[in-house]
Amino acid sequence: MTKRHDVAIVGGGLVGLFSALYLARQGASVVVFEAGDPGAEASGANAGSLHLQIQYPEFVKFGENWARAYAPTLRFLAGSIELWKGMSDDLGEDLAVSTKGGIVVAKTDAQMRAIESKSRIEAEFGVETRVLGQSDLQRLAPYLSKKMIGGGFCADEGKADTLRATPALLNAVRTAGVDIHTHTPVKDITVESGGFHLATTNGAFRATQVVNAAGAKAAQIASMVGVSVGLEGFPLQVTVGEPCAPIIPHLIYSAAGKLTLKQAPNGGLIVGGGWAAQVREGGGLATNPVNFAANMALAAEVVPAVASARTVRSWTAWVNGTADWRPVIGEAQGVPGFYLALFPWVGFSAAPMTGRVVADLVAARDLTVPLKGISVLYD
Amino acid sequence: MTKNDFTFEGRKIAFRDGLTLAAALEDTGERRLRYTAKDGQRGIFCGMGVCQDCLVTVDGHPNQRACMIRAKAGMEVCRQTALPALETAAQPLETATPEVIRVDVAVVGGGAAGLSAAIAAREAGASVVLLDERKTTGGQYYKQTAGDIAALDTQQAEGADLVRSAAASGARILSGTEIWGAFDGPLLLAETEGSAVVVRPKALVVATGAYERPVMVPGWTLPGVMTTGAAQTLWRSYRTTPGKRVLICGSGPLNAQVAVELAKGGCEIAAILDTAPHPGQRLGEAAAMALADPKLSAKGAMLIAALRRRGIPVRHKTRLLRVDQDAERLRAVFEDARGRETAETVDAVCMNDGFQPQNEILRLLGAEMTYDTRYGHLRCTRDRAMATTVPRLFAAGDCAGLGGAPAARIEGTIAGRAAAAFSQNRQTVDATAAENLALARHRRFQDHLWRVYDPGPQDIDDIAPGTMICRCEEITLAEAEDALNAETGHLGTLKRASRIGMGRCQGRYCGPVAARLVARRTGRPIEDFSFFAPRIPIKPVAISVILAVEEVLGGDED
Repeated sequence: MTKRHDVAIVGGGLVGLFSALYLARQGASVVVFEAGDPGAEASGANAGSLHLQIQYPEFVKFGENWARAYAPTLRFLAGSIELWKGMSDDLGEDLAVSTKGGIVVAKTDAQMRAIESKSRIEAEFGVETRVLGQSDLQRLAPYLSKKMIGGGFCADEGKADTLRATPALLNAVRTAGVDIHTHTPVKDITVESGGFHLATTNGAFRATQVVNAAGAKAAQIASMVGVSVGLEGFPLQVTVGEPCAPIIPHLIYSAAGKLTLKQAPNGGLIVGGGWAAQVREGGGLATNPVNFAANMALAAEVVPAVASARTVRSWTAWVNGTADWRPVIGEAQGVPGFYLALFPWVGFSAAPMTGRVVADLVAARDLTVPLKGISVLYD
Repeated sequence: MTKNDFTFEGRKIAFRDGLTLAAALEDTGERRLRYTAKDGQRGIFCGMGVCQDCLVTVDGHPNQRACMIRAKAGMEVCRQTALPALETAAQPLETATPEVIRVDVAVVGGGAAGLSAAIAAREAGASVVLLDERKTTGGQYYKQTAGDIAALDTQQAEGADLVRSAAASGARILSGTEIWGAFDGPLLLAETEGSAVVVRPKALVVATGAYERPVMVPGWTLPGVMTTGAAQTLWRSYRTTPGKRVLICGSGPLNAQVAVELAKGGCEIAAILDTAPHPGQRLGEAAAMALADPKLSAKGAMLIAALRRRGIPVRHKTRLLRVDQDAERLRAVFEDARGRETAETVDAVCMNDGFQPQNEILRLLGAEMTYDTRYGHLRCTRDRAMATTVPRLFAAGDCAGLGGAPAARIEGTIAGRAAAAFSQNRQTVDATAAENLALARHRRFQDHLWRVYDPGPQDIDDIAPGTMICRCEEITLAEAEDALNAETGHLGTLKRASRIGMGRCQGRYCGPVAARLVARRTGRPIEDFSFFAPRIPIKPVAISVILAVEEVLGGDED
């Protein structure tokens, strides 16, 4: 006799666990299958940024038409950051959520013009990014290099403690009665009458509905029920510096390249921005020295004091992304009851709202954030 | 008395030429060097650049290791606070364009194995660069003297000969050069005096030696508690001692040797505590050891005689329980086999409970390792020419698994010759029959030696729950167990949940304990965990130094 649950969630990262939490809280019996340890990939290895504004490098790379097509997603991210703000209370543990704002810093007029046009599009979709001249920028963030001539300030952005997020959420999910199977890869999923049959390394399970929250491995999971997903894994690296006195309250980006720079709760400077790690023979990841150095150079260019600090550790992980950055959330076409819960590139920021919307979808009620124009499944 | 002095917290400290800041400060009894984030105090611990605990601010540059920096006249040295302000920190030194060294053979480590490898590779006609993080080459076994201090004994004189031979071999020796990055290629990134060095060798010999395993008890992080090797460096290299009255604990031959050396240097040795039983109960092993290497065994016998002559008590089957601060001194509490507790009030507690290979570079480059249950550490898989499972990468000496200095010299010679042949596309030369014989003999000796002593790590059950097991992040065993109770999985999950191993030393002390914890809890073999995955940077490195490297590494590899 195989066990039957209302919902089976494939993937024990933040999206899977938030989905499990909200579903269990609304009374569903939920089982989660995690191939390894919970939150061990992108959820545990990301730099902890809470992103809202349109990412500058992509804006420049893909242009205004792309930005307008992507911008409805900002509503979703704004809602998700609101959820993050209440998350320490909700989960009963301090997750060091702070929203002191994010600043894209520019050093050329051309960069300032791009920040201005990006800001106009963001305003059309309800997100305010204030364009700052040099003196306003220095007043707001005196630690920035005097070579920076201005920037774009998005007040609702911030950061949270990546390391505490998964343990706190896991605790809440277990308390809510969710059945979590770690080190349990799902080997096959078949559609049967009234639901799904899941073959795992820990036995067979039945569920009325299935949520695919497998991140970088989501395409492989979706293919088990004949669904194709245009989402891939990307190997990224992040670096942290030695603890120092509070200097950077904001989330800092550079218009000169891929950079996120912020200060962790213990004072360490976290430097990331989406730089690729090296994939070694055999599939393991290693820090790419060229990208490591280039990432540090961007950080020190924007905040010169950074050069006095030492880095203590870099790490690597698979994250997931799509070419157009748009999320893939909703019921898979042709497979009723099989849901995709995939938010590329900025999944940490979007995880709470993704979980909330998945819970809405499964319960077939109005969505907290309607997905039309946001998820590619609603085009 | 020399005229040189620097200031520490505004106080003038006179020093002798060649001393490190750590040695000069210890010489004047200043042992509290920094404050931790949780208001702890720290001083010298490992004495060799591993633990990252003896941090001080030097001329406005925060977080400098006192054990790695030579004292210079006029330096302004301050106790390190936990959170230095970057805005007011001194600007990083101007970094010159880094030198890119293309060479047949690069050797990392300037000890018995590394120096031998450099000499052998030169003799085989290869161009060689040797990188050593210490300012004075010789390594931890040969511990050379600083400045114009004369050699103490044959061990130091033998080391001096080896250093001279290496210098005369034509190998380029870069001392004070610390590797912070090792990548496929191989590509090595290093820092020397705030400048960057890039090394692209055709073959690489890693000979990074070992560091000491501590005895983790409550109070082992107090200033005045240090590794036996750190105390030995203070005496052998700098002719200073870690205080007047000293207790030594753990297990292994180094403890006895250093006890005699410190006693000669004027210390009173309160006792040597050894967790192993009296060698008299292991006579068979002692006899086998004598057969394997009569010369080294005789040295051991002389050591035991010297201990007796000097009246240094050796307490067998006795373990340290805790160290308490007792005004300016330390109170060490220990327990014998019958459970009797005794305490000694001392100035310093020295600890050596065996060794951990410094294998970070080997593991970063993907060399295969196996877990040696008896020694409680990883051994690197090698063929008879000391080649690892990674092409172009050779390993010699204790970094590949404990073997002792005599074996390290032979392994270094074999590895250096093989790496030279490889770099010149010649057929790799295996060890000679004589080398193989000698190696086998040294290994036999080591094997018996460590049957007299206790080569394994502390049993986790013997560590009190409140004991700090991660010095950097100040995480106790109980806190690590709590994190494991919340979620039992891989070592990485324990690391993220507890922050254990996330500090400056990169888990070099807590990593093996954490791996054993997880293995015990999950019931899975410890080799599945391979300790913490080594990370870049291998040692913390100033971002200014990384920036210098950026110029020569080239553009975006997105």
